[in-house]
Amino acid sequence: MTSEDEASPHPTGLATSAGRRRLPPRPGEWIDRSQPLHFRFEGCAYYGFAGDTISSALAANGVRLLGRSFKYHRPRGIYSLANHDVNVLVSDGSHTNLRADVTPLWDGAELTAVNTFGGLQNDLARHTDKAGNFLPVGFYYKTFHKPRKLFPFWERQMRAMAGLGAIDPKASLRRTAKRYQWCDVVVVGGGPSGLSAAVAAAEQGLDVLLVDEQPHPGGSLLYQHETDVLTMLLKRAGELANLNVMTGTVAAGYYADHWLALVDDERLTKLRAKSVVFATGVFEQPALFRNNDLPGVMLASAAQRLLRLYAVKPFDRPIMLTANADGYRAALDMQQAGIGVRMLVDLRTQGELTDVGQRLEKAGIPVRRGQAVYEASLGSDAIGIDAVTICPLDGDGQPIAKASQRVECDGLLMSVGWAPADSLFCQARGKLTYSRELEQFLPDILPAGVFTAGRLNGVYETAARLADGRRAGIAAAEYVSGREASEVPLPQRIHPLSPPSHPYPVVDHPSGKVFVDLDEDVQLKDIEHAVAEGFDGVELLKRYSTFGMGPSQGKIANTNTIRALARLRGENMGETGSPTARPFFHPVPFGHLAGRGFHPHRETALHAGHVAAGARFLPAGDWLRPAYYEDEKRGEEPFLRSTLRAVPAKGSRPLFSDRERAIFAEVEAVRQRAGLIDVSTLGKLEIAGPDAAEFIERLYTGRFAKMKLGTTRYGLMCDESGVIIDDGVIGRLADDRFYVTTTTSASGSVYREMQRWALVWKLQVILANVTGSFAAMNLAGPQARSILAQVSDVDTSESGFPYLGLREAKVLGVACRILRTGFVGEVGYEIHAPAHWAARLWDGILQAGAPAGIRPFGVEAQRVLRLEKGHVIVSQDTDGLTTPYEAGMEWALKHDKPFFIGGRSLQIVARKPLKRRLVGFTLPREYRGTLPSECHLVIDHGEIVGRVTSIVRSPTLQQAIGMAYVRPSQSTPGMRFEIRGEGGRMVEATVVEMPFYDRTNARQKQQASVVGPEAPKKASAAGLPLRTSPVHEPLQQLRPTWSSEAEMPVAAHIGDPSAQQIVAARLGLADVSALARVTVKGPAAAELVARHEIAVPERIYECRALGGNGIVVRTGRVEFFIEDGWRGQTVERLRQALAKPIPGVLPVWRQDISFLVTGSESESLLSQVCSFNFRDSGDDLVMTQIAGVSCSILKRRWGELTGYQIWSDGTFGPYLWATLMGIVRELGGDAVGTSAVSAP
Amino acid sequence: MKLLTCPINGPRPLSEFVFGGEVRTMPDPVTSSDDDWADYVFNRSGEPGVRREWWYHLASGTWFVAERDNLRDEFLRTYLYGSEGAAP
Repeated sequence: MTSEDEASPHPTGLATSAGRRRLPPRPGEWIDRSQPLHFRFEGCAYYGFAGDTISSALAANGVRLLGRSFKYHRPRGIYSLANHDVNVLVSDGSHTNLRADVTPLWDGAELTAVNTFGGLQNDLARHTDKAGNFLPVGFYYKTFHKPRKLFPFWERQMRAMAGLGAIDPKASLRRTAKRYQWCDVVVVGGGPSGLSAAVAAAEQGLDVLLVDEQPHPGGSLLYQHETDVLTMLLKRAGELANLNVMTGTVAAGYYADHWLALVDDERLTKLRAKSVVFATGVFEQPALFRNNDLPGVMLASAAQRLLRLYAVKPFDRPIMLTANADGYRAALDMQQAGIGVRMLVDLRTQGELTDVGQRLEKAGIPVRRGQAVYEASLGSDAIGIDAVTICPLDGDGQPIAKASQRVECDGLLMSVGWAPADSLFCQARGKLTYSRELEQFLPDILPAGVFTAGRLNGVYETAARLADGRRAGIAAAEYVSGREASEVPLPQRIHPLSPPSHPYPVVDHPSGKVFVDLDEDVQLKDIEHAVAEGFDGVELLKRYSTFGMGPSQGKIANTNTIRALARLRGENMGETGSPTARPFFHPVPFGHLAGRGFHPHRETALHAGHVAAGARFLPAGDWLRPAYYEDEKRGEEPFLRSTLRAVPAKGSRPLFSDRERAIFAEVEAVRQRAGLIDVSTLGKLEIAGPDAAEFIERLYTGRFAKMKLGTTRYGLMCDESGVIIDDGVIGRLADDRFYVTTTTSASGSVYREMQRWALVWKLQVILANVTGSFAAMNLAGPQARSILAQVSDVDTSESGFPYLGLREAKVLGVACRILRTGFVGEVGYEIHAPAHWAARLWDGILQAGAPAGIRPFGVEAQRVLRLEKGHVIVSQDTDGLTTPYEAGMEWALKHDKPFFIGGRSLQIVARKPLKRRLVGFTLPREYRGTLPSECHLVIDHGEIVGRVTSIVRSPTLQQAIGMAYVRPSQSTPGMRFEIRGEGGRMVEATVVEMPFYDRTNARQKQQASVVGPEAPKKASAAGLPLRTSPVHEPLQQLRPTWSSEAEMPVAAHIGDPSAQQIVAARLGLADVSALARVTVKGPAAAELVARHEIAVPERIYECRALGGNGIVVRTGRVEFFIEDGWRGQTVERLRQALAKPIPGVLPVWRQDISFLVTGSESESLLSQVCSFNFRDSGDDLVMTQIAGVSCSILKRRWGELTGYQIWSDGTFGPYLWATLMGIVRELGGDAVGTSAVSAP
Repeated sequence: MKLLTCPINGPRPLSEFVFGGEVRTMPDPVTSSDDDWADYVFNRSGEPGVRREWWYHLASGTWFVAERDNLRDEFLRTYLYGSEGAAP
């Protein structure tokens, strides 16, 4: 019979004739006969019903040949019908490797089998099967690796022949967002023991989740056992509101601390449970004999599934091969369905001793005891078996081949044993032991909080499984509640007269193919050969033979393979052991694993201004920083022309790219006039308290205790081994207060280490990381002084604000800290301003500086400028081994102070000979070639002696300059060394003394050159932005109606006001960054809070109400966070009180992003971005991560509306807004204005 | 994912934490020999057993000490630095 014969040419009598093997309606069937489904398989039209899987519908139509095997392209059909084999993989064009046995059929499906050449029926590769004898295990490893150059060819051939489906690269993208979920007890497996365990645990009042991969709970009760028990169990489960059942969901992996991967059609759910019950049951195992893989050979449980779940008659005249009572029951099932079982072959000489044995004989089915199936025979249609050969077994269980007998049949059912589904249990580090009574591995040592139940425990009888489930469910509940465990009885195993599994259901054949692993076409003889070659450990054997490595992960292969290996090694099963179980239980689509990626990035408060100015960005750690600004006028800069003259262009190709010309123009602006660069990414820390100076002395290599107020010093930080790890500026604001900057990349780690040292040294210091709270910009250039004078009231005279000075002053009305620096080699002012106000300053300074020719400059120009000035960048010009001696920074080490981190190690280093030295170098002015790059090597007499760390074409010096590590003996100015540049070309460089530019620092003394004839007048602040939210730009795109809160524009309405209320009740996202807020920390903070009539929360994270929906939260032992409600004045009152520093209090004027998430779906949103279960937090503040960003989260209520408020560092604001908005919209929500949450 | 219980924030997945190495005491830099100092700076014990380790909760900025059995990768208890003797 071919599949063409089965095609119904005309859809007549749909509802009744969907397949000629379909039985009349049966109780408990999963199919819905009122919903016929049309589909095509391999080009032929068929019909099935809703509730069918692809395989069951094909079986109903009498199609036996459903797939081709992986390696030999042998015909294959239904085997387990339970996803324990992958004989039937199909593709619909866009989804490949669909597991037809368990994939629901859909109307209009167009399906083909995977891995065929020219179709399933006439697969051209089927002849590979004939060559099988020449393809033993390890054949590929041994054959194709020589000659090596031919391997790619053979690899392509092999990959084409062996394999699974093809991927459609044009398939549409489907977002499969991951989700977090929580429960007290999770029960994996919805059979009798699992249901019973779940009910028992739920009756203890716990939050219980039952997970089952089938579309309906019930497990084997659905197709093998009594169904009235199931009805009762399901009724009880339905009554328990705290018992949640997830069907169609695979528990695909177990990870530490009861963390499970649950996979359904839609997504991967990360479940955190407090206790786990594995009621995962058993897999039916095949018998091994020749041709045990052909269509027609089927596990008895698969035939029972076909019969009971899909009302499909599997065969007309099958033979049953068995070694347990289950086989007898299955034969009776068939008989009752009108299937004439020809014969029952029992491997056991004594046969079945329970009453089911007698019932079978009464039913008139002939029984052959002590016999085996020797081989199955392929019919003339080359599609499936038409007969089997049976033969008696001798006393050792060996077949007596000469006494064999051929029996015609259309199918062979096997029920010879079971293997526990112990993969998850083993992933949980449970230990197994082998039971000879049951011939099965059983759980032996249970990890804490892990329990097992049912057939996995070796409990087979239905009533005992229910009792065992109950026992496990109660034990799990007691574990979660922390109650003293009641006397938990061990599983009640009713030991059968003979074990449910046969110890060795194997009949070898001298020449035929006997398969142990159908996925990978691994034969019994492959196992024997591999063992003979020495691959005789279970793990080695797995890797060499590939058993258990296919898509079904050995579910029906491992046990028989281990039985064979144990026999070959002369051991028992327990000694041989099982291969390590790893996730996943079933393969999981990559799309599910990818889910939604979270890649947090930070944007400075000036980001929108950079975009508007044509910035080209480059990533710097978490940040995006402007590399340079595109400028249409770049070609006309006189300065650039002189540079171009020095290096004449050839032909039509411009010598410099647009990028380089833009960078040169920015350099020129800073050197000649003024430039403004965003340096907000610098780490910024506050250190306060009586021991602050002492603390800094210990952390940094220099001397700081006697620094005058209003001054700054360079700070170099080493680790304990004396390696440079960071540098920055240390400014003294008061005797007990310092403001410290760090490099961009080290801000987090430096602050972390400071916190730790403060604990270890027990010093009285208060620390705050204010990196995100302060935006910073460096105004530099000969005109910087006069521009600052226009925008600020600070005295800009050289005596009033000298080099390395620090001032607290207002700039354009905003209170700022201004640091006089010289990083780029000109007069420079680093203006540190509260981030919410930064846009005002940036715009205002550029406006005020416009007549003087100011321009914004980027990181690239800054690199050139600082290199000209010879300033080292830590982690570019230093590496993980660089000491201050190597970097030429011994001047920064003050060894005469009692201690600094790294000092002791540097004393030792100082006594040893120096191995390398960082020097400045130039290339000859007439050098025309490609510049060497950073990390190009310095070569001396064929040896690597160092590398280039920085190199640029300096427009100021009109030649290439750089820094490099060289031998100390080469480091004297004037000496030459060689760099191996691009393509191995050697380039000669000359050591020069640094800095390259302004060696006497005269530029710092330069007095303001006033633009125009008049003295600088104050710049107008009219039209400049006020405070702006970190998400002002994305809000503006929503065209809201603006109002104002604490000088910040606030999106009050977005869209129609009544529609907005509906959105807010479902899922709304509102920006409330405008609310005034402050953190006060320090030993006197509680007293300050109390003095301002603010309720002082006692517990850490306890939240108390201020008037008007404001809050105060204790965020640490001596730390409070205060946020006003709309129009609140508390924070302003605190600001006035703190205008004069209060000892023992460090205020942090937080420049956060703050969102409200409102409505009934707010938990759905959070469950996609946050692993915290908010049921655990009560009404307290939670500090955790959202979408990879550290956030604080608090449950809130606004009138009828409930939801959450989220705070984070403002620099993550645009990222968080975009990420949350994407999910909000997927969940049917939207952005809402603040009026939706009762803002005025 | 493994859970670690921060004394302030409660049980959280390991991804919320930064490992800070073993809790070790710095020898007196003035009196210790070069060799003893180098041993402190460069050598770490890989011995199996219960170790006192520094851990840092990122979102709240909390340093604390965890006692961990590094053979079984099991946290035994956690506490704030300096409160080792305090009731858990």
